[in-house]
Amino acid sequence: MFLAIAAIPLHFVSALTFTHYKNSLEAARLSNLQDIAAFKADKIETYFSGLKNNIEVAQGYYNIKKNLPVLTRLADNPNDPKFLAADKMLDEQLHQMQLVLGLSDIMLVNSEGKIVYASNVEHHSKDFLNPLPDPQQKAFAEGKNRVYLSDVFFSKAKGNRPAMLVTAPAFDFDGAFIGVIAFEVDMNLVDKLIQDVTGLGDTGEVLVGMKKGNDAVYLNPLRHDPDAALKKGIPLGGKLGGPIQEAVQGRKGAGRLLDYRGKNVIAAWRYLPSLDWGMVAKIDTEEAFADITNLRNLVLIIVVIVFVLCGIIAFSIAQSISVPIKTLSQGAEIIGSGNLDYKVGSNRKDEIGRLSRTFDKMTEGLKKITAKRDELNREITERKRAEEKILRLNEDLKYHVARLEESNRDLDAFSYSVSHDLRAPLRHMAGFMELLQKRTWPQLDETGRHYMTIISASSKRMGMLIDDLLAFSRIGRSEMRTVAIRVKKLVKETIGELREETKERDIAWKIGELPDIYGDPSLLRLVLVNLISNAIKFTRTRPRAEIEIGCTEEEDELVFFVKDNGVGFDMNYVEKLFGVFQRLHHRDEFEGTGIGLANVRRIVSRHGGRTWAVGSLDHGATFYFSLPKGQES
Amino acid sequence: MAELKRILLVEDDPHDVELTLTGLAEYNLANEVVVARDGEEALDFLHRRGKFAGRTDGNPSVVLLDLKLPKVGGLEVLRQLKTDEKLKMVPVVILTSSHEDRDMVEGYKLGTNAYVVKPVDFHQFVDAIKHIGAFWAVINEPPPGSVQKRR
Repeated sequence: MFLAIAAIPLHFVSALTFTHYKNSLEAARLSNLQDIAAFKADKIETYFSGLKNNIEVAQGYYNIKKNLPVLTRLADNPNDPKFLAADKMLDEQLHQMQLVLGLSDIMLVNSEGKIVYASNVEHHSKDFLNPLPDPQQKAFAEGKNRVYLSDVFFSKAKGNRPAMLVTAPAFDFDGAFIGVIAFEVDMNLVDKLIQDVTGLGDTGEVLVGMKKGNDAVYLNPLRHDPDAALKKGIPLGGKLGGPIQEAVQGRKGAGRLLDYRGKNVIAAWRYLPSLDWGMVAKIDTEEAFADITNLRNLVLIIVVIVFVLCGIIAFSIAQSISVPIKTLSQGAEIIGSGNLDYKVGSNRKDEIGRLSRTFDKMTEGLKKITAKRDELNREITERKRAEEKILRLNEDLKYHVARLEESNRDLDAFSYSVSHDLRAPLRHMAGFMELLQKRTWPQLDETGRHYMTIISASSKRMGMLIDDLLAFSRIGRSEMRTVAIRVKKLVKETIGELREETKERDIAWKIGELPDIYGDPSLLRLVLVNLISNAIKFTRTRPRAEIEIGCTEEEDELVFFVKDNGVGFDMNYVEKLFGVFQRLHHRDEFEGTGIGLANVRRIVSRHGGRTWAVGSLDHGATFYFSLPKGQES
Repeated sequence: MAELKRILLVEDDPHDVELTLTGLAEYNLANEVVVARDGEEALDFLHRRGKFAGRTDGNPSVVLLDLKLPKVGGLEVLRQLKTDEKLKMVPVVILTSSHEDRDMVEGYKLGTNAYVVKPVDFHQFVDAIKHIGAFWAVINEPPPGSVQKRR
């Protein structure tokens, strides 16, 4: 493909050069032929006009004027000394003239048209008293009146060779017609004039012809047909012998035509008006353009060589360029299909080698990027999975929270309703028990009265439990009102309110630094009341109670504590402490329903905090509750 | 002598009715109590319709109103009473087991004149009833149109 494209300009240039050269050569050839034709025509015409001049010179010859009449008079007696003398006298001049002019004969014809003299000795006896040899006898008839050039004819007397006659009248000293002077021209002479083929190569020739009827007849032997003279005719208007047809019809020109053989020739032609001949100078196109053909062949050979060279070069270039590029492109395809471990590899030091190495580097980069991308993808996938998990957990959480809130509400509604509905029959029991007691007390014995007291106390205690339960339920349901609280002040107020329980006690209060917080004041007061009253209650057995209230600040929460040196508790049951109605001591030791710490936990947890306790039996207890820091202002 | 029914007790629980009457008996007010066993009956009495259509005496000096009642609830009775031109001046004392702030606030908003939580303890309960009866039926001057006190 690449080669074909490369060959196009080469062909184009070759063709252009070739055509140009061919045109130039043709023009040169034609010009040459025209020159030759002109030169030869000039030669012929000069020769014949020379003959005409010489025959005119001969007309004035004294010799002819004097001796022709003698020969005419003594024709019947050729051996007459006068005749012989006259003949000899004429010979001395005319024989010489014949030789000088290259004529085959100079004849004198008497007024009756009979040859009485011939300068050519060989002809002498044959011609004597015969008419002139031209078949139409026009030479004598015309020659009586003027200088005349006959047609070419076969001269039987001269070995059947083409010849022609130039004739002119001869006059005596008085100007009376005495006969005709005739020059016989051997056409060989004309041939010699024109048949010089110098510059016409192997096939070229110059030829003459004349029109005879509807034919153009050649007058000289042809190079390719030696017997053609006067025998070969070319029909006018036919395809063959174009140049001679043109010439005999009086035209002058040059060009490419078919010659008498039907061969392609280039020719120049012209008309010779003085002879009524046509002249053609021609050469076979084949030969004329042999140079061109040679050139064409040369060019073809060069083209072929160049093409082959190109092919070889292209092949070697392909070996050195397209093979690595192919390798590279195959590598690119392999890498493109996902195999990033593939290496094109090249040790070459040229651009292709660099390209290959750069490509390998790029692949390596791509591989790294792909690895990173994969890692990133993995990370993203994991993150997504984690997010989905969190989302799912959140959904679960929301669901559980909703369920929890629902069950809390149910529980609250239940405990409210239970407390409420429990109170009425309890009141009735207590009420009617009282009425019964009033009515029957005097009649009852000790045991009966004891029973009645127990029933009354039990209904009272149940009333308390129910009230506590109601309160606990209310803590869970009441609206929270969050304001800033000065905890230290609140603690002191709480201690003050509990004065009734502490007035006969020896209690060492230790109140540390307590920060202000945000929260519901009535609920937090309840927390403090529960914790402090517990501390007071469970240090009752100590001669000197020590109660410390303080706060420590953690990273994200404030931890308040109430510490006492009371009876403490077993850490095994620490989790029971904050349950509803859970007690770790006997009722006859320490009073209470066991709702207090449950309330504390509930309030603290509603504030977002935690509750816990640390203690050991008989070594005091510390109750902690925390509040998140975000809630302080 | 026509009985003076100066106290309307709206209470569905017969034991509570009995205990209440016991408490009122100490001031000899038990005979002046009309008991409605649900909200509808209470409204019928006050509007003199249904089985109370022929009632000719005046409005009670006080209505002791429980909140948890069959048919029409206590708060609804209170609302109808306090939005009626003829009845809105009748004093109402809510007497209930409910310790709920919600109930108390709602009751006062609707115009109750007092809110008493029935104590579990018998003595406290009887005391409370005695005080309520004494105050509203004896000490307090009822608005015009109420059943007249005995002289």
